[in-house]
Amino acid sequence: MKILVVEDDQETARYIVRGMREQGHVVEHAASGKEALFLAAAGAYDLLIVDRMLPELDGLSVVKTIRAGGVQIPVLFLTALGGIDDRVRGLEAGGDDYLVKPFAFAELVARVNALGRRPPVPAAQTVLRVADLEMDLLQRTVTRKGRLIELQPKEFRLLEYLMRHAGQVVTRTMLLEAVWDFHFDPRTNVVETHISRLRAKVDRGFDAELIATVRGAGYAIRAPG
Amino acid sequence: MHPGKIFRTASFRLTLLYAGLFAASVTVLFAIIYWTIAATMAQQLDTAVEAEVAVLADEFRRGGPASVTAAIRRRSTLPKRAGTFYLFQDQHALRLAGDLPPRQWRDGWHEMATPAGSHDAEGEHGDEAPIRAKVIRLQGGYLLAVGQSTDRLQETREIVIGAFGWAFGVTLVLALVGGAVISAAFLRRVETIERTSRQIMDGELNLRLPRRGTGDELDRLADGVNRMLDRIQELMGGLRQVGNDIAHDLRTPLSRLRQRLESARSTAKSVPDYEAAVEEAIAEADRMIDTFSSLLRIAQIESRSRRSGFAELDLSQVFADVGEIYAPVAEDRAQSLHVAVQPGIRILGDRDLLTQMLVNLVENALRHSQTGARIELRLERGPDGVVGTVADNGPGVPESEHAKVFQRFYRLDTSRSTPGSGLGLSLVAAVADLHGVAVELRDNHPGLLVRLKFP
Repeated sequence: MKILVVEDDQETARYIVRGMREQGHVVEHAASGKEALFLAAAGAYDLLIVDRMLPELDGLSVVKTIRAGGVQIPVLFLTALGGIDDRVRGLEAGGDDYLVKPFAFAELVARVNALGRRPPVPAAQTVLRVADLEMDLLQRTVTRKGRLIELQPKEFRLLEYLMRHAGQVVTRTMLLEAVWDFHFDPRTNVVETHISRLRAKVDRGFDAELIATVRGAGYAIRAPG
Repeated sequence: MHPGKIFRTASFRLTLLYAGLFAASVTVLFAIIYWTIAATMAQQLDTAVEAEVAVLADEFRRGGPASVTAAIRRRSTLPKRAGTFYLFQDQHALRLAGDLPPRQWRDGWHEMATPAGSHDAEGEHGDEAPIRAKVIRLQGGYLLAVGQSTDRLQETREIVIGAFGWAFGVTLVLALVGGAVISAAFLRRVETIERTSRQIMDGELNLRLPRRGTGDELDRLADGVNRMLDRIQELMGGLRQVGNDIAHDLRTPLSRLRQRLESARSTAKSVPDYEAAVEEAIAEADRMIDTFSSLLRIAQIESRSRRSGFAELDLSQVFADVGEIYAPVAEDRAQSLHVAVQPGIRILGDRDLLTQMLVNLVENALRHSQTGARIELRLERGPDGVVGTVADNGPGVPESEHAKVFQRFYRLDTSRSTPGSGLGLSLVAAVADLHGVAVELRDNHPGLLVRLKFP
């Protein structure tokens, strides 16, 4: 993926650029809002990582300007402004995701991967498949090897999110936000509990485990082998 | 106090305005009285003159000129006729009787000068008031005139004007003196308030504005300012407390972090040793970041800027969702969560914050209760409104600690072993406060019952 990192703090920028390159992405860096606009107009990027607070032109304005020009590149806001209002404003301005500093690098990688492959599922597609696991989005049914698996509505949502990001790592925070609409960190192992219940239904009794735990990062659903 | 100050006070200006208004109304009142009296008296005078003219004209018709002459002469001798003047003249303007100057008068009303040496020429009046006279022509060229001195009218007018002058003057003096006195009293109180506020500004933060105890405007103003000062002092105290708490509470994890890194430097021998140390250090740093995020979040909620994001929401749904999400969590901890939510209860609020408030309470109950504990989550519309409860049969919180647990970083001695920041209930309190929810802790015999009374 070709990524543009818009970040004025040199150390943070170096950290992100290096990390993303290690992940195999092509990364360019803009240190100001104006530079970002210039680069975004010139180069075809797959993803923008934008800091909110920038000199001259702030991140919100940069994204608004880009969006006003009809550009649909995914945008990830990266910022120290962690209030819920800030998050809402960021998403309203045209951001696709929002990550609050300080962050774990694994979290950034997971979110970048999730965004970069969007849209993973065409809107018309009504069936999600991972190996022999099948989810019918219209019937709201899940089968594995043709055997029906009964899921609670929230379990269904959890599995759907995992399957829409099949093959990618999704973090605890991503799940909390997307599945339970929790924009805070719970102090009990809510995610672990629900994942283990889902596993019990989806994986137990079958020859291969589809839901994997990625140590230090999160979870992923992927075909074995 | 400088006397010039009085004239600059609002109350004195107000007094002046009232004095002006009062003077204007006194003037109008007197003008009305004056015109009414003058018009009535003039009317009376005219009526008397016309009656006399009619009597004498009748005399003429019955007895001829001689009879009129006699009648006039007779009248002139009567003292009660003072102020009445007559003229009876023949066709050659020759006066036959009376004291008014003979002339070829036209018919109708005339103003005539008082004849010199007339019987009641009052000495004190240098210039005599004119006589108002009616002239009529009789048969045969005779002319009859009856006049009445306007002396009395003039006099009455002068009395009224004089009285008005006095009343006006007294009114003005009273208003000005009264205004000055009231303003001086008012100014003294304002100056006391000003002096006190200057002292408060200079750092004597415990001082409060004096009140007289009558509950008047200035007292109400002083009350308002005093309450504001109380609140500011409370907030400042809170801020100082938070500052101290943060410094104190973060020193522990920071020193722990430092110790870990230090011991890793001196004792770690292999890559896995270092990895473990780094892992621990990151976890410690994450906990600190967590604490900071919670503090920021509480501060943001307390600043009330989020009220703008309020919308109508299904509170029952929030309770049911939290119940559904946490029932498996409780089960995994070998505890049980029982949920009883009355559906369809809607309130105005912030869904994210209410969810977090409820999650904090449920997680508190789970984390501080023993294995096998039973936690109950309820929401119902009762006789005194919408009430949510989170109850457990765990160790509970002693009555004496009920108020303290909402303070930042406050932790019960018994819960120090459980991981946590001591900010969970502070956040609950902040969210509840934002939503006007009354949070009450009760003894659940055994355990703790948190009662949320929604507005």
